[in-house]
Amino acid sequence: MELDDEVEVASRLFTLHLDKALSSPIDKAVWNPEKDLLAMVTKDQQLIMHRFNWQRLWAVSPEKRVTSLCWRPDGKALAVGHEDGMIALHDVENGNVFRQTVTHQCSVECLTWVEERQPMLGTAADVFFYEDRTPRFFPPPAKSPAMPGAAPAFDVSGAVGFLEDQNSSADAKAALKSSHQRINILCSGDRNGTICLNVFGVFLIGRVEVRDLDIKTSAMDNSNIQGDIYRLLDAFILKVSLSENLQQLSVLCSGQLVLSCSQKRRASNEVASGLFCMQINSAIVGCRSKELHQVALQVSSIEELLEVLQVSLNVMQKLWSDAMGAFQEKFQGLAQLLREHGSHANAQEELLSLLSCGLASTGVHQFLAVSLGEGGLKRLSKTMDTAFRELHVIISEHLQPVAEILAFRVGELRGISRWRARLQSIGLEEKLVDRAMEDAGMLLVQVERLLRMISDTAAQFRMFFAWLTKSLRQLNNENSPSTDQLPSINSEAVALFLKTQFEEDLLGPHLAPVSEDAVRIEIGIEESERLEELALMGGFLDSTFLHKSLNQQISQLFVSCQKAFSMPSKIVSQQLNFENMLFLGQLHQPNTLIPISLTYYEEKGNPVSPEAPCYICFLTPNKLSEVHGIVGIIRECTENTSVSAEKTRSWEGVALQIGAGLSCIDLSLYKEKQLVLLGRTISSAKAWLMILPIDGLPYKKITGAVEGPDLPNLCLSNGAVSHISLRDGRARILSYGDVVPPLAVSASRGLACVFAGQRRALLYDLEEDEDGQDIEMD
Amino acid sequence: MRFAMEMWQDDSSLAYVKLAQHLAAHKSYKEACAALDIAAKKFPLAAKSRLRAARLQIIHERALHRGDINTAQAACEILSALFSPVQGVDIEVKIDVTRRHAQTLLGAGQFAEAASVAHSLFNTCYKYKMQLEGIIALILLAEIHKKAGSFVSGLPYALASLTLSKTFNLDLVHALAMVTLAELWLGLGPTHAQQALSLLQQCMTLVLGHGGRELRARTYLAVARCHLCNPAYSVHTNSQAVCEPLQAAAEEFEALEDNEQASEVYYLQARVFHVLGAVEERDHAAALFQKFTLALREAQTMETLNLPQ
Repeated sequence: MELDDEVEVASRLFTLHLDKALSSPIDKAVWNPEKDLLAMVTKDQQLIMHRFNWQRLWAVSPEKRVTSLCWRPDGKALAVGHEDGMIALHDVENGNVFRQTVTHQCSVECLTWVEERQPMLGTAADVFFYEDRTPRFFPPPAKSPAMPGAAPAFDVSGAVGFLEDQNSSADAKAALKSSHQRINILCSGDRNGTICLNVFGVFLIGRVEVRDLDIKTSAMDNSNIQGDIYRLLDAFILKVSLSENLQQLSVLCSGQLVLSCSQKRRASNEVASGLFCMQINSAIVGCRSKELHQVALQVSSIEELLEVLQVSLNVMQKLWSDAMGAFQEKFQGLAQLLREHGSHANAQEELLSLLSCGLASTGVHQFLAVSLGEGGLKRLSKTMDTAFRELHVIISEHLQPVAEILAFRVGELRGISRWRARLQSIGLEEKLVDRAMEDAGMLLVQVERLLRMISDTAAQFRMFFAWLTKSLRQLNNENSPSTDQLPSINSEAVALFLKTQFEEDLLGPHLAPVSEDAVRIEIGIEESERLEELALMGGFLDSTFLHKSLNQQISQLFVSCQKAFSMPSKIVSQQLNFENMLFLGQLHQPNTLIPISLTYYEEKGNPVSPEAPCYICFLTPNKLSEVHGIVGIIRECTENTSVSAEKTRSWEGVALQIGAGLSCIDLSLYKEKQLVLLGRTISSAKAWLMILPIDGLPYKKITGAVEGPDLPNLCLSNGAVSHISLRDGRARILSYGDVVPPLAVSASRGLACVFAGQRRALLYDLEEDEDGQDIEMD
Repeated sequence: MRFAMEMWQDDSSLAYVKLAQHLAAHKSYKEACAALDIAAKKFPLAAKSRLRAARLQIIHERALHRGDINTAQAACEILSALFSPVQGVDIEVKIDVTRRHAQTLLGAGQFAEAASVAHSLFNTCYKYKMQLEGIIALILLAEIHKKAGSFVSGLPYALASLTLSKTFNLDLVHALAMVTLAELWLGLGPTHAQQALSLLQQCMTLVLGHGGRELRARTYLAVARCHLCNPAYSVHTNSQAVCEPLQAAAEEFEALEDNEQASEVYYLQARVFHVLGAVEERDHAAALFQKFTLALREAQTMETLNLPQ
């Protein structure tokens, strides 16, 4: 009866914008924080993006199952966690993946992307500022060159697709850059209890293994023996979030709490199992956010540049092996002919005798005049020339500028790393960066050498072909005027070519892939002496680096960069320590996903504490049939203890008992300390959506032990209970009865999306009621 | 062909000289001299002119740092005689020599003369539109005022060089100007210590990444002095903030053979250790202070060293 009244009153609250059919039921849905875009994962594993008017923007089908979703705070990228532990970043415009990272070993269960709040002016942190000087000194870096044969030039559709790709990668880079104004951190948690923090979603700075944390209870429980250390086993991260000042990491996870000293007999020592709320001190991240920002900026660019280097080198290698293959194939014909004609000399000797005496044996004559011909010679010469030109272009437009920017950026990083007072605590080691710097310098020299080598070789080949053409014409007794137009032949150079380059490919080893470790480039004694001399004058310490091929050099640089860049996460991870913990309730089945929402609300009336307290809402599984869902809300409260000026954090909690006949399905915290609840009626199979203010609820301080009663029971016994009916908040009865989770609420846009009947999506504007008539009538 | 060979020799000898100068600024004088020896063997032709000038420059810098004014003065004079006396030729080198002259006068404590030389230096730079050298002349002027103890009159020069270096994107010179400005603020009294510290922190990464030993040492020392000046700072609560930069500054100044500054650093270090109650470290620092003070006095009274002819 009560419900019927509600229906009357509440039917016009919130504007229903859309009621659309869905092709497939929805598994996950997240609103974009900046634009009216809804990212969804369907149950058949499609990732789809819809506009506010339900127009589909794009859809992609990831190879692995999607287990979590979240937006970057600027709304330009979507992070997608997969069941194999990979996190992919999709571009909002077209759904293309522009970055993939594998930091987890198993399914990524939750993702949150937090942006640091602008620090207040005049604070101490304001003093430290870092500038990325690269754009002032260099043009934007070149992109990777296209692989030859990757896009057939005659196929129009292929060419178009190729162009599109180029654009999108540029967009992706721009999208990546635009997020770099302020530090933002992607927090991810997985099924095995591993939490990772990635700056900009690409640079890992911290990793927490929940099962390795020492959980001390002394702060929470005074009656217990001081200093008991617990461990949380089989942790399954349900939700993870960083506070906006990056000082604290809040984690909701399920697992078993055991006494640490007796891990072997863990079954008997189990203290509690179920849902826990844990806080981890990440002050190191908060205090050094500017340094981390700058380091992450440089590191992510360096990693991109390394990628370009590698791709360019692969392209060059392919170009050269194709050209050389064509050359050798033709001249194998010569050897074949010589053998047929019974000559004992090899091709090199025959050609040398042609050069020195101007006499061609029958084999050589036949080869030049018949099997090659002037046309064939021209073609071959052109093939080689084109290859050299392309190699030259790749070096001068991709490899060299990229190597220069890379060296500059590593140098900047070295400058930062030398400020030990600020940077040592986040693990940027000067020695390791120095090493990377040296490798980057060597790379520059190597690239320069390769460039010179290529132009030398190109000139030699050109000379050789000119000589062959001239010889051919002489053999054919042609004395056309065009013969005079050929460049004059330096026979010394041709002889040199025949002795060296003709027999073995000298350029090949420079471009050889790393796997061929036998590659060792010979350098002259004079050159190595000069290198040793330069080492005395402050040059590279490793005076044998010119023996390496370019590819080996790049992989060495890659390794040293990896070493230098993996240090911060090692050092920072050690400083992420357990702070406090709360037992929230038992779970029926372990590792089930329950509706949870976690937000930080700014305390407006309290200028003393600039920190935003954390609010956590969760729906306890309704194991008892008479209680249809209890919503537990806990919030953090800080108190200034009178004894010391230090602030102590403690928890306050309240339990919401949903009124009779109603059951709650999903919940989400909304802006200004309001809670959005989605539920059904048990009797008449109707669904309801309600916004409930949660500020004025009768919170009671929680002083529960980790093993103690679960939170709802604690609240019930404390009297911190509120019975909720649809009258308590702004509620609306929905037009479909069979609503299902997930409920997607956007706090910044004031929108909610409800999925019903497996195949319908309902879009509500939470800020706007359907029309003003209600108010006028009142 | 022969001409090309000579050109190549010319270019590479210049490269070797640059390397040696870099070594002198970033490593030590000994290594720089060794590098010049290598270069002299390699380029016997250039040994008499360019390499000799480079060697004299290094000797001058070293003598200035040691406090050996006589040697510095002699090196400076030989240097000025090495180049063409015709007006308008070898301008860059002449400007360099003039700057060295002003620095020598500054080292000798003749502030008025040093300032007038620096002024004429700036005028020359302005006349020939040599921006970088002009800015460095301004910084030198600021430094002369700083050494003379008139911090307020030094400020305009430091500020002008700061603005100019920003316009020309001269980052390292900008950092140098910033450090000089911070030192001037520091001279104005403890109330400005916080401001000086924030200036230093802004240019810290650039100084450490690209600056030479001298700039780094000065910055470290200034950071430590900022903390020590600040009345809100207490050595007991955060001794690291002072000890680390002092130690770094001591290392850098020692490598530079800068007796005067090194003795100042060790003096401060001894005071800090005294307050902290670390007797052993205090005595060690005090002994070093004494050693460098004596070395300074010895250098000041020393006869002119043998200079390469």
